[in-house]
Amino acid sequence: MFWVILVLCFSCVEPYEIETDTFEDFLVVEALLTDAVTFQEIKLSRTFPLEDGTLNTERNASVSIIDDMGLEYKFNEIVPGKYVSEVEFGATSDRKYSLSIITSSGRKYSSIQEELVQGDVIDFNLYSQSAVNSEGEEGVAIYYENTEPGSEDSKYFRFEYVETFKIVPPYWSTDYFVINPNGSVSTDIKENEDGKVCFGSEESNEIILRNASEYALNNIEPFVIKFNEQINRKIQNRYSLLVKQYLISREAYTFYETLKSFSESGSVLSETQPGTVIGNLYAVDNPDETVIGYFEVAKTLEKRVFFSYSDFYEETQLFLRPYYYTCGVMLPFRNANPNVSQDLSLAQMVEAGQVIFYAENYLGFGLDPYQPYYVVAPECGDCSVFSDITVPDFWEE
Amino acid sequence: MRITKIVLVLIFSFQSVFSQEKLVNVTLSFEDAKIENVIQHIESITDYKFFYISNWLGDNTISGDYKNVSINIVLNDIFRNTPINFYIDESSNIILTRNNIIHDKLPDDFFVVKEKNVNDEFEVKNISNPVFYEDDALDKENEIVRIGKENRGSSLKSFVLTGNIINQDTNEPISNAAILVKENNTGTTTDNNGNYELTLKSGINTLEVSALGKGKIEKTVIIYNNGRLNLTLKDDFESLDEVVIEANRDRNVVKAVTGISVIDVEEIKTIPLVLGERDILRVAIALPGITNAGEGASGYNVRGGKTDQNLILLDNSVVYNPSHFFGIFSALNPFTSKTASIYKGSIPAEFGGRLSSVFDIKTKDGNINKFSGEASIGAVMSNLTLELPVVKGGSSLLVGGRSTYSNWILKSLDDKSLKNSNASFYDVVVKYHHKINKNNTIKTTAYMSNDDFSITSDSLYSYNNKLFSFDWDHKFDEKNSSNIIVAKSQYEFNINYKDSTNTGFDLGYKIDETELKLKMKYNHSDAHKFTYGLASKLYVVNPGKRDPIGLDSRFVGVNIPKERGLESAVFVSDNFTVNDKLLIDAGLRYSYYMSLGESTQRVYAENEPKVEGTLIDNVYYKKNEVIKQYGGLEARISMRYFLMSDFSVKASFNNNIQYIHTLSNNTTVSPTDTWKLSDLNIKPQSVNQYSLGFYKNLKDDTYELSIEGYYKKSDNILDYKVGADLLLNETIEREVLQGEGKAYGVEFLIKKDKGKFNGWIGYTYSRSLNKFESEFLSENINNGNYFSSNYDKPHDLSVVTNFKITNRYSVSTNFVYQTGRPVTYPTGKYVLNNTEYVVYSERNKFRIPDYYRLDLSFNVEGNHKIKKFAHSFWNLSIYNVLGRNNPYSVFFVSDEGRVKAYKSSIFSIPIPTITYNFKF
Repeated sequence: MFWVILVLCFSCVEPYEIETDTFEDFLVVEALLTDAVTFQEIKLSRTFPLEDGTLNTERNASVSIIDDMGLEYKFNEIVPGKYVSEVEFGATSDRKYSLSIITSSGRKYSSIQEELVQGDVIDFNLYSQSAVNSEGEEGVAIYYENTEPGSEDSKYFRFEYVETFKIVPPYWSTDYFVINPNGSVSTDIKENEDGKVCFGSEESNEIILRNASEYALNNIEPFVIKFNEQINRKIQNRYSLLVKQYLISREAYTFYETLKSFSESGSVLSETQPGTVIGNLYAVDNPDETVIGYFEVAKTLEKRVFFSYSDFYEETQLFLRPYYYTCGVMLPFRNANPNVSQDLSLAQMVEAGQVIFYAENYLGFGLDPYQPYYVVAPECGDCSVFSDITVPDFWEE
Repeated sequence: MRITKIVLVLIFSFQSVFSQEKLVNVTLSFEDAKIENVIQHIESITDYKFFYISNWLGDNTISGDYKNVSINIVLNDIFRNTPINFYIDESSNIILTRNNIIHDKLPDDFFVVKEKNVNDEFEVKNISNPVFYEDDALDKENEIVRIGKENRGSSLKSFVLTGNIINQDTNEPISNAAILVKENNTGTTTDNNGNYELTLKSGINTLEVSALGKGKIEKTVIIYNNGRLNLTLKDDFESLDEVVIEANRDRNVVKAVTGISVIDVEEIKTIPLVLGERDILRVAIALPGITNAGEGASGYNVRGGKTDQNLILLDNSVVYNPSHFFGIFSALNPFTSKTASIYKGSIPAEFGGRLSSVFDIKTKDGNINKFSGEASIGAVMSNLTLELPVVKGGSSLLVGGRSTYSNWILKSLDDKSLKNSNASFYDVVVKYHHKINKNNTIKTTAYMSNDDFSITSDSLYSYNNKLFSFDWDHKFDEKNSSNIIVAKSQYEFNINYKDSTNTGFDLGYKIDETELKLKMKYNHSDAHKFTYGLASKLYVVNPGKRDPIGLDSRFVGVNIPKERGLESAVFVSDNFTVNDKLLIDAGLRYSYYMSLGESTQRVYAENEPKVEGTLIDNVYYKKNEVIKQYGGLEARISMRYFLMSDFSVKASFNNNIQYIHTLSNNTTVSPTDTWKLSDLNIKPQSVNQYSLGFYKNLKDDTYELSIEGYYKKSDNILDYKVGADLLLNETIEREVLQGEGKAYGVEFLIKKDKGKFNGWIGYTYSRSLNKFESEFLSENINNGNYFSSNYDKPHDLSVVTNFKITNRYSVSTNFVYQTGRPVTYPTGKYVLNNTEYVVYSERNKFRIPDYYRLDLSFNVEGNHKIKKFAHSFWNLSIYNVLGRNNPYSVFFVSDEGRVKAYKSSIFSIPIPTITYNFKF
């Protein structure tokens, strides 16, 4: 049976414990200065061990962007690791900028001087269309399409997007439970419709790059910037996509292109040369120290598109739509009944925030044990428990 | 018949009567057996008892095949090349004596007969005078030969000596051999059939016999009457073969070339086999300075050089992938291979195009006299080699083939995962050699190897080498000879990938080269021996195509355009013996490379990194239009100086240019190395190597000691940018960096060749470092500092031992220790733009665990007592006795945002195998 052993052993590819003492702690910088006059943002964090799931922010650093005339734009930390400029400002074409960071431990970091590239952002349109993706799934594709050819210097583009979508819980009710002073449960009518409709938002987590010089007339060929399958819960109601186009430098483009090669899971054959992608940042006192990230200075143009599920598909009943939670309507006993695994009374469950009111059980009157109300998990009847109820400024119905 | 009376005086003297009728006829066969073994065998099949001292018999091996032949003839043949005489007494005792015999009286019809091709008359006499067999096998010994029966009544002062001179190894007659009589400076030469006739005065004559390419011998003859003397000459040192290896045991000390290892396939019998296979290249790894990338990795790193820097030649054709099954077996058939000369220090000027080494492997010439063969049956593979004479005594066909049969066994298994596994390979070599006449010999070799395997059930890999070579050896005169060589080689691989999603594809790569080479030799004098010539090689590379499998494959078909290049060289070298102590081997080679169209080349902005953004232009070149030329002078100089007769110092300087590069993705288990030609954007790599060594032989060459140091500086070696993806990438220049390399090391070797216990210990301390420095941060690796190359393994120890317990049983061991190879580890994670990425250590900052392995091998020679048609032996070997789980590679896969580390190992448990070998 030797040959069997041979082949078995040949497939001896087994998980391997990486030595944890190899961990290296580096500063991670996410800095983008656009030409739009606004409060600019810089995020600082640290690398974290492989087996650790949590991100460590870099707090209490002194962050500023300095132009080549010596003008310094200071940044303040508003949430841990997130630094926002004290004033609204934007990069201008005649200035060069560098980033300066002094961490709370006194280490100094700087960037190579960067400037806006010549050339201009390209005006573009977004449109949505029903499509089938490469896996054969039905869905809605949002296409990016230039409306004009780019100028000769408009070559390297990076795109980000922000998805905003309406969340409608399947079991919202006009009534809610009230716990009476005597411990019994009754219902009352809600004063408003909070939690009937909410909004969620998600930022892009992929690197989208286009090299316009690959195309004739520096024109970017139309492409699908975002595809959502029909069953995706985000598009079940109304959906909006904000696309940000950045005109970046060749060096920044190369940086992101390399980074991108690590985030794509190809086949086993196309593993790339491992290593840390080096950007334009360095430690002032120790040139051998690795600093992760890229200080980008970019021109930007943003566009937004909306669509509703009903634009493409026949609407279904709310409770049939894919939702963020698995929702079921329950009919608990008024009192605890361990025989059916109900350890708490209805009042206790309401108090503990486990269930909310959905509907009255008229059929159950006079039955014993008494099951007066249909209830649901809070998330299934009130989206405000997990998302925002304020309608965004830009929202269009 | 008749009775002869012989009187001997030796240390003792006796008289005896020797009867021809008493002689027994024997039937026996032996191949490459030691004399002592053959004697023991004869003792076992007859009533004869031998009396001798073991030491006399030496380690030389002999072969023979006799059917019902007189014992005399057998013994004559056995002792032909030894100084041993034998005498058979009445009670079936065979007494062996050494060296010359002193006669007090010459018997009637006394005669000395040499060699096989004695005429009938002498054969009879030979039988009657078996005791007086003599030879000159040691060359240096001048043994006295008596010719003729002294006729006391004769008044003649001179007599006629006739005879025949043949090549000891091939039994072919040697023409134009010079026979010089030293006493009076007369002489003669042999005719086309090797015959000579010489008139000699009676008494002592000293004959000096020499021929081109043969070792000189000296013979003292005492002439009593007309007679006949047949002589044999050996090939001299220049044509290395099995016999010569032994004859030139002090080669290590003598040769000018530094860093040369010659592996004789016969010698490697004593090394533990890998899964029942003898393996030339595996022996190579056991020598100092040569390592492989790890267990199961194909390719060899020689003195800190990349795996693409070795020129592996099989009968002059390049073997691009010399391994089977991820390098566990070499693709070279041990039964058909004769020798492998590995040049790692000073590379002869006739070779070029690779930086680190030349593995010059020669296939055996088939037996021209009789049909013979060799076969082995093992658990993993079987091997059959046949030698078929075509024109008897003139030409022969050698056919050898090996194959695994694991595949159909796997297929017939019920286990589904194994059923889908696939691992099979085979190789076939066919060689025809034909000696047309004494001045012309042609040799043709065709070779093919093929591998198919799948690592996962959804992919099927295959690769194959195809070689063809033709060599016409022509002698113009005694001093000039030429070789015209045509060599063609093709290597291709294919990956068929079908997974559950629609990402199936079929990927192919192919490189093809055709070389024409003219090599001339001019033996100007004893002091100067010139080799010169020219060579030209055309490369055609089809870097790859990828065809989507199925209509819904997500992959788009890719076809990277062909690359072509022409590499040419002229070379000249002189082996100059300055004096008895100093030998200089000086060579020069000028190589020239042209990258040829048809091609579209990308032009990048000068002094800018070669990235997408710095592309300025695409230039189209027509077919055969020269895109870019590179060239340079390569010096190959080495010298040897004898400090003492068995102690020498050697030094060499060597530079090489290499116009072809491998793109090797070493982060996965897939063997997708591709070769890339230099072009507009990729420059040729080059190296300068300096080496110095001391060589000492001890105790009559029983021990061989050497210490050799080297320093290498290389330029334009390739490494990959972070994120480089090499597979099917048309713009390779954007993925690679070219930088400097340096390597240095000291190699120690202690070798014992003789005796019951033999083997060697090799230890190397070496470093191999690279540097990629640029003004652009993204073009640096490790901030532009020197860092360990992928194959930097400072400590490398090999211990090979062989112990012969009895004549039939032997045990050998092989121990290997290597520092683990460098690896780039993920050291943490970070989040950028809402995505988690991995941060890696500096390139090659960490090492995988050290590698060590012990192998054991038991050999049992076939029983001579049983009448057998073939010589056979059993081999039981255990690979990785210690069960060490040596990781072959450690790699990382990002799966759904989580980084997972995997380690692959080949053999984590001891693997026993049993193989049966036989020769016929």
